Amino acid sequence: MDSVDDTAAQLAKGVSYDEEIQSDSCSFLVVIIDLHSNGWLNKSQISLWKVLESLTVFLNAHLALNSSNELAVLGFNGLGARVLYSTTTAGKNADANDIANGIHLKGTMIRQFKKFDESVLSSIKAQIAEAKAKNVNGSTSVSGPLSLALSHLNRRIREKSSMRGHILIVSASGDDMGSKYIATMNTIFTAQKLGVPLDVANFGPPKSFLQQAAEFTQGSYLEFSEKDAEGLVHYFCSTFLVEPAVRKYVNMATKSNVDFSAVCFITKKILEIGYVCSVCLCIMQEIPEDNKCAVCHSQYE
Amino acid sequence: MDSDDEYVPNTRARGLTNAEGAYRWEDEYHRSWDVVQEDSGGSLAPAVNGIIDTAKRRKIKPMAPVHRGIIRNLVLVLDASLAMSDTDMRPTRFYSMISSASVFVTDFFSQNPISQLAIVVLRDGLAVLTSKLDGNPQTHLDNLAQLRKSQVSGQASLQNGLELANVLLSQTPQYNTREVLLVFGALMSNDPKPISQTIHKLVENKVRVKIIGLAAEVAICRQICTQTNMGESNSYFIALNEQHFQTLLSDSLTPIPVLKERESAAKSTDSAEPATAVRMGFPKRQLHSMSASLCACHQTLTKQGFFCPQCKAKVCTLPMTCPVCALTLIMSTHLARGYHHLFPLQPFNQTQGYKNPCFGCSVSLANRSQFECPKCHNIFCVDCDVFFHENLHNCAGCEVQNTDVQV
Repeated sequence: MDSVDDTAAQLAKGVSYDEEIQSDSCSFLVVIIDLHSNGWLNKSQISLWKVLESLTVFLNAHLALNSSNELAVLGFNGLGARVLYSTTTAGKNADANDIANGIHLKGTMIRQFKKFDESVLSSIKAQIAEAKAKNVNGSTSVSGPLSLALSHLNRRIREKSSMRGHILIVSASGDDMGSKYIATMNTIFTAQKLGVPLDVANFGPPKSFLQQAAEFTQGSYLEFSEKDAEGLVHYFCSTFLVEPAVRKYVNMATKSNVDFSAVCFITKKILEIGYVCSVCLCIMQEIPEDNKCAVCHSQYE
Repeated sequence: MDSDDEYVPNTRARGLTNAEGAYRWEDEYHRSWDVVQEDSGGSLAPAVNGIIDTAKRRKIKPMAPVHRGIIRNLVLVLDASLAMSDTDMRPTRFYSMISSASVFVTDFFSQNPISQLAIVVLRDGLAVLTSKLDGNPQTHLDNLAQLRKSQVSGQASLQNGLELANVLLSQTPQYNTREVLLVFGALMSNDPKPISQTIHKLVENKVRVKIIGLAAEVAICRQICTQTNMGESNSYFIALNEQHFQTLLSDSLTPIPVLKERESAAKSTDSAEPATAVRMGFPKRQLHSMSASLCACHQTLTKQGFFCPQCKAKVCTLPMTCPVCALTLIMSTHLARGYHHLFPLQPFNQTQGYKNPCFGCSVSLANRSQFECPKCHNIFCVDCDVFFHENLHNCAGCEVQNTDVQV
């Protein structure tokens, strides 16, 4: 608590007054939800619906925090990635459609939140159902939705100078990279350049690349197991809700021991000392016997 | 004396001539306002949007996948002669150059993470090594900040600068590129000996020189650039203003293609100049260890650092050459930063007539220029097009669709 008071005092004194923290600063949150069916099947982890319950509370909180906050929800599975909800397009729909869409308010529910919850959940259901109907088992890399998210953020940040972006990845499936190593790294570097923190809420097995993504962009990487099921809302709201501009004043919860180990392109083993091709920069455990690069076929000395 | 030594006057200087080879001032007069045409409704909006979009896309250049020298050694030679005290760039040429150079150094290391840079300053007819050949951007930035406090004085010497650069670069391995980027504000050079000898040395050592002039074209500079780049004359430029100067500097961020002669030689015989596999270490980071220990690079007490996998020495930052065992220490992510130079994104084609919003950012494309990815055939707006090619180096459409789906 002391540190919070210190920070508040500092801000009051104007010692480290930051122009970024202004009353009109708002943030654009992009949530990327992993909807691979095999990612959520494991019995020992929290179910997708449990996560979505907490997630909608968190997203409502984000929208309620500032009237100019914006939000986009992206889902991805074996079929690819798509925008499930976006405040920029959804805001134009008239309220008159609500009754036609079967949205009924209960008690003190706020219309916007109800509308948002319904539309996000129904499009998530639709994407899962579609994958089921087409019997898609493959997995896609997170690079697709990340590229899409960054192009949305790029536009909004450009249009509105007080806009800050952040991205939350809700991840579950086992493989975080697929075959898209270069594309995924490109997205991470771009997020870093745009000053967009990448937060990761991981419900599946540990993922070293998402961990690196969070580390590079000053986001937080959190892993959740079954025992966290009841406190998910608290985790979401205390960590991921923090606006990018105030993050440097807050002690963020994150996992700090990041593994930057390199992987051999041929044997896929983790290396401490390896050989790097001077032409294509591929990493190898040993120089191949024929003295040729396995990737670019350059002849070595 | 051989024929190369003689000064060959360049009758029609490049850059001053138009497509027909005539000088600019011999051209017919163009009225720029005639280009803008009203549309049928009498509105100028489409024409103006078109001009803006063209300006945005100007930087996107078709990038054929060519063999590029990814591991670079570059000597940045900065002029600090009296000519740099001119105020045609604000506040003076010298200060403007230092500011731009600082930006360049930062960007250079973010785009070329395993490369090395040195800084040489020309003043009083001497070439002074200001920053040693090193891979750590911070030392260069510190040295540039020091340089900012110094004064400009005397004449510049092209020869001394190039000789020093040549000595620095001749120690670097064969598989690296050897480049000199020279910012030259003076119109004359104070040389001790005929400079042609220096040019021969540079050519022999395969050093490639790029010169950015701040005043006017100097014949000897063009000759240096042409001869050290195998006769290709696209490496000598004159900056028109501060912004143009920064653009010219940032053009040097992309690794240069390996010259044709070298490449064909490497293909035909393996004796010529084969690639090399470089041994490198990928150290693990140790965070918040209980007790502080000395680092091998600065000899200061630190609680965290990276441990060389070969000799277990502790260093503070990466990339670095291990001070104990001389192993190159890097992170795999440093290598990943260089990959987009090797796998460039194809330029998009301009199309029209699509009704759907931009695939990337969902903005409406009505009355706007539209661009199609040749691979995934999705349509994007001009902002996404520029963003993909300059920052992201991915196409969102390809990434979303191109999956290894097993149906």
